[in-house]
Amino acid sequence: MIKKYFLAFIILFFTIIGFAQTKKHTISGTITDSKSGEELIGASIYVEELKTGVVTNSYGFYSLSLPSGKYNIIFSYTGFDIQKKQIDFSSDQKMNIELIEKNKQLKEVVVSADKPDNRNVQQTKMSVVKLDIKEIKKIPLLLGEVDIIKAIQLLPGIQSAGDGNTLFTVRGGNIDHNLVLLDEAVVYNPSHVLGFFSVFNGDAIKDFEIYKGGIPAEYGGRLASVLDVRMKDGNSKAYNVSGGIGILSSRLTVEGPIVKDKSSFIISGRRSYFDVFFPFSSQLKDVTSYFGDLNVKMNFKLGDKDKLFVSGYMGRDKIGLNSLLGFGWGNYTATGRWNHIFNSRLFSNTSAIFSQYDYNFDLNISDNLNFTRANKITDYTLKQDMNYFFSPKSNLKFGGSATYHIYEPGSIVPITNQSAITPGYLPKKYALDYGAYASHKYNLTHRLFVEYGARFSVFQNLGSSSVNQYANGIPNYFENSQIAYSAITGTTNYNSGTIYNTNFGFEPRFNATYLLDETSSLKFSYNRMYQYMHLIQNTTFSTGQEFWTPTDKYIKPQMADQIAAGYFRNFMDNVVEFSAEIYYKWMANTVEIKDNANLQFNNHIETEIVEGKGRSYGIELFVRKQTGKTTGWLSYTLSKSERQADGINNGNWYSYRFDRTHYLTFVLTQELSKRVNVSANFIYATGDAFTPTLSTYNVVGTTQVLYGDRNSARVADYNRLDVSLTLLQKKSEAKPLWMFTKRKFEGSWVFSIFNAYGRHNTFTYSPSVNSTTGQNEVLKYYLFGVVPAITYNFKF
Amino acid sequence: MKKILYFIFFATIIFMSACSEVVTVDIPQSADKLVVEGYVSTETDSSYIMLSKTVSYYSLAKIPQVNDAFVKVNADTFFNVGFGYYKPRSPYKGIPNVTYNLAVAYQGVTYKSVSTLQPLIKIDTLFKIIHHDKELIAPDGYSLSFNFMFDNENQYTYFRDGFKNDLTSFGKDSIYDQLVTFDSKNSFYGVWMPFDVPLLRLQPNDTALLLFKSCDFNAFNYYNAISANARGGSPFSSPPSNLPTNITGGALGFFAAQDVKHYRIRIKP
Repeated sequence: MIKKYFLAFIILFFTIIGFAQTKKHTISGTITDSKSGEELIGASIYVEELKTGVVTNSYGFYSLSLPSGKYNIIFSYTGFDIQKKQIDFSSDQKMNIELIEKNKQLKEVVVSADKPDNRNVQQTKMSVVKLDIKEIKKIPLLLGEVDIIKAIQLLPGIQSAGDGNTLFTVRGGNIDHNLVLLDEAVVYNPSHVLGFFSVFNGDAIKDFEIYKGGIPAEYGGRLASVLDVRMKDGNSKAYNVSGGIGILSSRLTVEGPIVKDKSSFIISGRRSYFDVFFPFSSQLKDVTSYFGDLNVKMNFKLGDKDKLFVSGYMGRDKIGLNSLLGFGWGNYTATGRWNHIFNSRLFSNTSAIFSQYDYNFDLNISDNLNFTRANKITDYTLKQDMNYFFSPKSNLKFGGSATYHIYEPGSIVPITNQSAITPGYLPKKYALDYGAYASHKYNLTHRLFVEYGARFSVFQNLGSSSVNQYANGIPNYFENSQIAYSAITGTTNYNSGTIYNTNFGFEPRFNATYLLDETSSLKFSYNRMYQYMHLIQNTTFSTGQEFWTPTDKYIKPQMADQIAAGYFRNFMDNVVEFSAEIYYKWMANTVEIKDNANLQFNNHIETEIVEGKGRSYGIELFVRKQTGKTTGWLSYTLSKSERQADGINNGNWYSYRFDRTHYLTFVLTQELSKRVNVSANFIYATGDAFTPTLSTYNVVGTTQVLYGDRNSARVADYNRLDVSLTLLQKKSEAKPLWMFTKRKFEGSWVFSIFNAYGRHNTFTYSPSVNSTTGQNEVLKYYLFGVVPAITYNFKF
Repeated sequence: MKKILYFIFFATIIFMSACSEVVTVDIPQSADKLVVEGYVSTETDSSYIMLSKTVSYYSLAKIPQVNDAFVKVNADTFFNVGFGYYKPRSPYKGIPNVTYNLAVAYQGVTYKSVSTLQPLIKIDTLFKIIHHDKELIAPDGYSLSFNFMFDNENQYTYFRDGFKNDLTSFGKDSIYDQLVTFDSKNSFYGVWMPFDVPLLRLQPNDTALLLFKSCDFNAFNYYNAISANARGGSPFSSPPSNLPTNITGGALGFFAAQDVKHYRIRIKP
């Protein structure tokens, strides 16, 4: 079957590419921000006469090939003034364009009216949303922290995994079904402080996109979504300092040229200081909690055709109670990238990527009872991406990647020599994960555009390893309405480097857009995704105790098929955009944690999970206005997400924990004057699913609760209003620090209130016993009341 | 401005610190279920089967005892002695490596279970007694630790109760409902395993009584599930799950045949 698909794909692929070949001339180059030299991702290059165009790729590179002749070419990017040039395509040319931020245009540049383009209607992509970092900075968010993950949770189909939490679900997928990338490196836990902050520092981020469906072939490894975040390259023209001072955390960014217009750097750091204030609170005086992170990036132009980028991220969290207990986790990533332009049509990116996530839990009850428990995952990746621009109608991407994973599922080590705890180590696991992809974007007619492609992925488990053997060959089985363990009958040992298990998948991807007219289109997409590593998590909060485990002999790769269709329409000269999308997603081999699973320091984790199925479907409506004094959007999602697995709820389908029938968000920003903005968000959502209590009974001297079916009841509906006020200070000429010359100083105050009317939104319900009366009761846990925040931002 | 910042900060902390309140939730109706708790023990006349029923979650009624069932373990009938307890004729003593079959007939339904009596691991005679000054939340005094080793790869056991001077149970804060389970599969097979009784601080002349019980795989899983459930609900706890059962026929609870040993240690002055 796979061979048949593959053959059909190859024939179609080369047939269309063959048609695409005609004699043309090419202009190519990069589009950058005139002020900072930052390359602009997704900037538009539009041919007025042909009503077609291209966009810059993830590195700001574009290539436009047209038959000989003179054309009016329009270069544009959101938040920047449009440039229009007449270009004679009589030979191949290189043309780097610098776009100018609004209201800063130079005299020699031809500027046309500033209207948004209709790219959202015309592009083959669907189920993808891009937000401008500048817009996000105006949205009121928890504790005033600029957070891209909290912002995307206000978009249709993307929902928070709990109040104020940066973990998220996309179109009914699990939390671990999202591929989170920072400069191509996987970020395994994008959370700080139990999920209240994300690891992404808004000051260091240039651009991001999130794909909910129609996922391009260059991405793989997760079922539900891809959040692709790109760090700033650093200002290559002038030194800049920016930052923010908040109540609980502050941040500082320094960027500038190493050699002007040839190389640059950016260093951006954040540090919380909750711990400084805790001694003043009687409830929190024994608590230690902080997070810190650092983004660093440098880039070097090595001539006209080569550019080198080196970037890194390190972040660490620590939460503890005196020296009694504490846990901490950290993400570390490093990316080296080499961009090479082979010729005006062929662009190459080669990346070497390191990613690591670790977690530790310390318990220090006494000098003879103490230990540190830890787990870690480390990845080394090599990646090659190629981009061939045939014409505005035809664009080919292909490439491949290989990742070596090292899983360290757990260790227990005593902290002191007197500790009675014996050191213990769960065996490391190793895997090789590689794949190749190709995708071709092609305009079949002036109304019908398609992008089709495929990814072939392979995942191999490597030695050295010790694999459990089970009676009947399976780790658990279904008996008497319960899941029963199989007995371990022995282990098989594999030498270092031995491949002992292989899984592979063919992942077709297809997007199509049919243009109804200049302002409206119909779109369709299909994608198949495989996921070879799985987050084992038995709690909702990111406490760090969760860990990743690979597909292996007993745990199958998860798989999802998603189809989506949509209607896209722009109004008022593209100022207002509207979209309606419907989707259906089938998930196979989902990893479901069985009842009473023992996940801690377990060397046979395969016995604690069961293979399930999932399905989710829904409709998403979205209206957005991006320009003018009043901006914002209204988003509504009607959806259903369910799971099924033998041994859970008697094998019946049940609601996913974060299944929310209705999810409505409203974001509004109003510019009251040049220096005053007000902003508000409102969210309404159906209450999360929970497992109700039915009755109680006594056993082993304890009172136990008998629960109903998993996730068969609902907590109260969720609603929340956040508001903020931004006051921009008048720009002034000042000498901010002794080492700088006199320069423009920009400052702003942001006052925000998260959960303005103080609703105690339910996080979860839990059975409890009243300590005074002994009466059973149900406790509602909530995380926030009114949370005010104030932040001062500056830039010079 | 400083005052405003401090005010806002402390308001934030206070608002964030509040985190739970009692709510009334509609409880779905469900039929009462039979609950079985049964042991066959190697200690003479310590074996029993206890039968009770579930009650609705918000009910103030006491847990109903079941005294009108018919109970057999292998060929031995267990007779009702009141309060939901059923006991065999004296003397009765479980025998290691024997498989015991339970049958409970109640209101026309027969509930069954099976458990093999595994011999207990060898607890080393060496009990370490270590003196500690007051540290963190533990008072000053003597702590107790012991060594043991699994000599069978498929053995399970658990530390059930600890009693100080035969009166007060200890360690309740750190040992969930007094259950600590040991599994030879989780890395301890073939090595001496030291175990410190957490937070226990004994004074001279105090006596500590420790109970160890062997269990089979099903009972081991049951005890582990009880420990996990006892951690209570919070955003950080595991999702609620019903305890597993090795009773067929729709009853709750479990049946276990166990090798039981008591150890009594006195702290010398």
